Formats: sequence, structure tokens, C-alpha cells
Amino acid sequence: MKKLNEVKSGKSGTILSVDGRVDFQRRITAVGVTPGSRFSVVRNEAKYPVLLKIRSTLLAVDRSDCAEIAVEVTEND
Amino acid sequence: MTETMTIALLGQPNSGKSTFYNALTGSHQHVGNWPGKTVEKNTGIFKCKDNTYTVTDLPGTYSLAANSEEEIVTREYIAGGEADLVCILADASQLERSLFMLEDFAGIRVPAVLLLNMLDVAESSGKIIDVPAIEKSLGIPVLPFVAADKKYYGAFYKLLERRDMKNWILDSNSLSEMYKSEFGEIYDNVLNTLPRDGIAVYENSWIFAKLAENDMAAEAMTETAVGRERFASIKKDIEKINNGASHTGNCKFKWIDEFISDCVSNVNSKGSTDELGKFDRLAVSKRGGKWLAAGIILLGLMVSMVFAAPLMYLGSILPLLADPVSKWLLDIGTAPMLVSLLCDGIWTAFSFTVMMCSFVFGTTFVFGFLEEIGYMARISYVFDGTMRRLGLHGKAVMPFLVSFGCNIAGATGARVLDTWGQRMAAISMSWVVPCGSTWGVVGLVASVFFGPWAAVVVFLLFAVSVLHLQLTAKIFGKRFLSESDRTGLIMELPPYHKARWGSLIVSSLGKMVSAFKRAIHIVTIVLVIMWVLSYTSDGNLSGSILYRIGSVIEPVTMWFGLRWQTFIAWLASMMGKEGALGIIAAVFNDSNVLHSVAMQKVVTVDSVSIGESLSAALTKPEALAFIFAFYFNMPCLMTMSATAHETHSLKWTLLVAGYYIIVSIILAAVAYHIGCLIF
Ligand SMILES: Nc1nc2c(ncn2[C@@H]2O[C@H](COP(=O)(O)OP(=O)(O)OP(=O)(O)O)[C@@H](O)[C@H]2O)c(=O)[nH]1
Ligand SMILES: [Mg+2]
Repeated sequence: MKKLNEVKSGKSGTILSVDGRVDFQRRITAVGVTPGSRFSVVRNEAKYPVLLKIRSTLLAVDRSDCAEIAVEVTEND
Repeated sequence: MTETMTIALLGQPNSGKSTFYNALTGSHQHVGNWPGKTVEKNTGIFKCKDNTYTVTDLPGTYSLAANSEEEIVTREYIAGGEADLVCILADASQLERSLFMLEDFAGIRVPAVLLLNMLDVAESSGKIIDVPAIEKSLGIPVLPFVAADKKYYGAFYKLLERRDMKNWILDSNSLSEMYKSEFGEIYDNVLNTLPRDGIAVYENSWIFAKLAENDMAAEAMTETAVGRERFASIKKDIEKINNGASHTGNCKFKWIDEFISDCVSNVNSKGSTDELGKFDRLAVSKRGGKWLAAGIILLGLMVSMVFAAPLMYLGSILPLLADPVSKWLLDIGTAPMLVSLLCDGIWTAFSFTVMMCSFVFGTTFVFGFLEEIGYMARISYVFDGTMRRLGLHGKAVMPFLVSFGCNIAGATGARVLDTWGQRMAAISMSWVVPCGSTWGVVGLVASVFFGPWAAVVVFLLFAVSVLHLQLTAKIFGKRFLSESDRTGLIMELPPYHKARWGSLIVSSLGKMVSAFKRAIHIVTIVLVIMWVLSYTSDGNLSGSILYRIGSVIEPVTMWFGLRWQTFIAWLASMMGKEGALGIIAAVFNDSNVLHSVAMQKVVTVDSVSIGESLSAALTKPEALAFIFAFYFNMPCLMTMSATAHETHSLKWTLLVAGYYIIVSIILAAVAYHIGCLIF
């Protein structure tokens, strides 16, 4: 298990859980980041928001907020 | 028989609601390719087959949760029973995400239709949507749609003629089944405690989901409906749920996924790739991204000045008309004082406002273009870190960028921010950004006095701006940005679109006209006051009230390094930054003040002569003091009125303005006294 901000560019995986403040949970859920959904990290550079593709949407999420999102990385690619 | 019916447009940000609204009603609401442009609901009417319809364009929200003002506006409107029909727009090219709004709507008993908008984009990526199947599983009419194409509107109008609208209630059964299996006993308990038929338009499953999401508005509503005791028992059950929002979201998306796998197929075997496009790879890259953005912005600002030129020219020749007109008026026997009021005061105000509006047009057009194609969201991404240092996030970059062209347009650019606090903070910090006209004046004065060293002055101004920005963030940041306003960036980077030139031009013109209407009153009042102060029957300034006031205050203004003339110029710059040049030209030449406020743009107050009269009258430290006072002064009155309009807070706008004024004069004093040591 990893946090979303630790996933390297180009890797993909599945969201396990979303923690953090309630309003963050609501906002991030509404854009499609929910447990069970598949994602791939498109860009993950220090000091920049994490760019991920999820539910056919390209999404930028604040780095520190990404630490609230637990994920499972698919190893074989 | 005629009937009136009210239609509400509901959908996630960037799903095309305003495009649809504009096409229906012929209005010009802001449209652009990045999320969150509409912040207030707008209402318009249209006619079709003798019937009149009222439509409401709602702010785009990702869900019906009560997270932000926009979401509360939206939800109250939908539930208030005002709308007879809700049109839910979903972006067909990103169905999986955009249907979330539909799911959050399920359980609200208001007639609805689903418009699958941007069908053109979806089809070009190879998506095939089985509309009848969707209709069947939702229980409401579904319309494939392209809001940008009139061809599709016939089917929509036909739909409005149908008589069975009352039955178009979105089927929420399969979603409640999902909740039931996800939450089990808790779900059953809560539902047994709630009134059997739900509350108002809300079904119990909807209320349950909102309670699980810790939605305060829903809690309050439930408490009033069931009484305190029963609510306490509901609350006890709900508290057993951890991360409720994430669980209910999960149910909603599960439902969407099932539905999509049944009704949507993709002929394009590759499907959508997770790779970035070629341009995006550069646009969001760590090194190149910022440089690319800076280059494009710079180019954009240059182009916007070109677009502003025709109107600017018009504004600059208007004052020329004042001479012949005033001669004619005098000839037919009008009182000279009245002629002067009309030609020097009111006419000047008019031409002045026209010129300033040209900047509004140029910058909204160019930045509107960057927005429409979808590049603005990329700029926000690369500058997120910079904005975070000010307590804001990437989306706040917009007002700052636009302000380099025009602070008025910058204030409007803050609309994409989520909360009042963020908007207020971003706008008040963006006031320090020098607009196009500020550079004009600073450039002239600095080069007259400092020659090649002007570059150093400009560098100093920039450096002090950064400090100023930090001070503003410190003083007002805490006030405006409460803990809940300090949210991190969550932003969709929309796919690139083609620009639609026609609507771009129309909407930039619309913004310009509304800025003009707002400003003309204020500018006229201020100029008439100035006219009264500077009026003399012989046109010789030294007989005027202004001159007398000037000589009285000079001993005080000199503490700050400002001669009375530069002090008046500094005051005038609050009206409009270019105004300062006109005043300088006028007061140092001892001719009529107001007339020259307008005349300066006639390329006229030719810089050489201003330069000469200036360098004869001011010392270097005095010039430096003026540059600082002028540069850091609040932006023009029009920016102020735009800010008050955007933030609905005259009080805070005035306080921020007061802060800018005071800081500018203090900085002038510092610059003057340091200058005195150097020169
Ligand atoms: N290709 C295509 N583009 C569309 C269509 N409808 C809207 N657009 C474009 O999609 C973008 C978003 O449209 P808007 O009307 O501003 O969206 P909105 O739903 O009002 O967005 P917010 O006010 O931010 O919630 C704009 O760039 C439109 O030009 C469509 O049917 N096809
Ligand atoms: Mg809109």
C-alpha cells in the first residue's frame, strides 16, 4: 500500500481509501476519486500537484492532499 | 393558450450549460473551457411555439453537496420547487465522471431530462451511446446533444411540448439498492426513522446519503422534520459510518459503471490512452512548463494591446471633437462655464472611459481565447506552487495574469475560485500587479530621469512588489482565508477545444460594455469634481481652487517627496492610471488640467515636451517618490467598482483600497529619503 503522492509517473493502480477532512472527501469523491477506481499517474514531480488520469478525466490534485489517498499500485507495467 | 414554465440547467462545471443558456436566450454569459466560470445563477427567457419559458443557468458544481456557495445556491434552487423541469447536462466525452451529478440528483422528485452534451467530441473519440437503453434504465428522456450546434435544438424544443412531463422522475431504485447493500442495517434503521414519504422533494435514500456525507444543511432539514429525539437516534446510527462521503460516492460510481458498460461502447479499439498529448507533455513539464506559460502570456499581452488599439484610437480622437464643439457652443451663446463643464469635464470623462475600456476588451479577448482552448488550466497547474505561497492555489493565477493587461479584467478573472475568501484574497493581492497603462507612465518618467538606469528602477519596483504581495497576504490573508478556504488544488484539465471566434468576440464586447456602464458614472462624478476645483474663467490654473489647495498642502506632501503637482497626479491616478500623465502635462505647463487628461493619448502630450517640463520641475528623488507612489497606488476606480461587484463587499474593497493608498505613500516617503541620500 502506498499514498498517491508516492506513485511514480507512468504507474497505474487502484484507489484503496480516501481519508482527510470531510469537505476534502466530498470534493475529491465528486471528481471521481473513490475506492476501487482505476487510475494512472501521468506526472508526479516534486513541488507540483499530482496529475492523474481517472475515469477518463485528467485531474490535478494538491500534493499534500494526495497523502490522504491510499492506493495499490499495479506492478507489472 | 400560452403557458410559462421554468427550466433549470444543472450539470458539472464545463459541461456546456452556459453555452446552452446563451443559445436559448440570446444572452452572453461567460463561456470558456475550464471549470467553474459561472458563479451566480442567471435567468433569461425564450419563446417557442407561443409558449414562454424561463431558464436558469446554474453555477457548475461537481455534486449537490453543500461544500461551497455555488453548491448551496444550486441545491436550494433545485429543491425550492421553482423549476418545473431540470435539464441535467453531462459531458458525453467524459461520461463516467460527469454522470456523477445525475446520481447525486437521483432521489430528488423534480421532473428531469438528461442532455448528453458534447456528443461531437464523444463521437470523434469513437464512443457509441445507446440512448434508448439509457432512457429505459433512468426513466427520464435522454437527448444526445451538441450545445454549440443549432441543429440539435429542434429535438429539445419538441421535448418541451410533451404533456407527460410530470412523470419524468429519475429512477433511484437501483441506487438505493446499492446503499442498502453497502450500509446494511444502518441504512434500514435510518430509513425506518425518517418520514415514510421522505421530506419535501427528497426521497429517503437521498437524505440518507447526504446524512452519511455529514451534510449540515441536510442534517438541519431532517432535524426540523423528525424532531430532536428521533434525529438524535438517526445521528447515532450515522456516526457509526466512517468516511461516509467516500462510501456513498463509491455506490454512485458503481451504479454509473454498470450503466456505462450496458449502454456505451467504444469502437475505437485502443480506447482512450493515458498518455499526454504532445503539446501537453511540454505544457505541464517541470522545466519547460513555466517558460512556455510565461512566453505565451507575454505574447498574449502584446496581442491584447494590438486588439485594444482601434478603440484606444477612437477614445483618443474623441477629445479632438471638444474644440470645435466648444467653439460652436460659445458661438451660439452658451455660457462659457457650462461649455467648459460639458467639454472639459463630462466629455473628457466619456472619452477617458472609452479608452480604458479598450484595455478591457483586449485582455478579455486574448485571455478568453486561452481559456476557450483549454490552456488556462495548464497555466494554473504549473503556477500552483507559486500561488500556494500566498495561501491560494493554482486557479488563483488567473486574476494575476490578466491584471498585467488590465486590473479590471483581472477582478472578473477571479470567478473561477471556489469561495468568497479566495476570490477576495486573490483580487486584493492582484491589485499590486501593474497594468498596461501603469507601465506606460512608469516607463516615461523613469527614462526621463534615470536614462539607462531606468531598468534598475523597474527591477526595484518588482522586488518591492514581491514584498508588498507578502505584506498583503499577511495582513488580509488571515481575514479572507479561513481554514476552510485554504483548500488544495483539485482541478480538471479539460481536453483542448477549438476556439469559437464569434462567441469570443461577442462575449469580450459584452464584458467591455458592462465595464463601461459601471464606470462611466463614477468617472464622470470624479471628473466633474476635478473640474470644479480647477475651473478658472481665464483658463489659468494659478487662479483655481486646485492651485490654492495645492500650495497649502505642499509642505505636508513634501514629507513624502511629492510636490503638489505630483501629488495631484497621484490622486488622479486613482481615477485611471493614464490620468497621471495628463495631469502632469497640464499642471507643469500651467494650462487647463482636465482637457489634457484626455488629450494625452492623442500621442500628443508628446513625451519629449512632458519630459522637458518634468525634468525642469522635479529633482531625481522627487521623481523616484512619484514613481513609487504611483506604481503602488490602488488601481483605478473602475477596478474598484469591478472588485466590489465581484465580491459583493464594498466594505472590504474600500478597506483594501485604503491599505494600498497608505502603503503607496509610505513607500514614496522611503524612496524619497533614500533617494535624497544617493543623489
Ligand atoms: N465541442 C463542443 N464544445 C462544447 C459544447 N458545448 C459546450 N462546449 C464548450 O465547452 C466549454 C464549456 O462550456 P460552458 O458553457 O462554459 O460550460 P458551463 O457548464 O457553463 O461551465 P461552468 O460555468 O464553468 O460550470 C466551452 O469551451 C464551450 O465552448 C458541445 O456540444 N461541443
Ligand atoms: Mg457556465
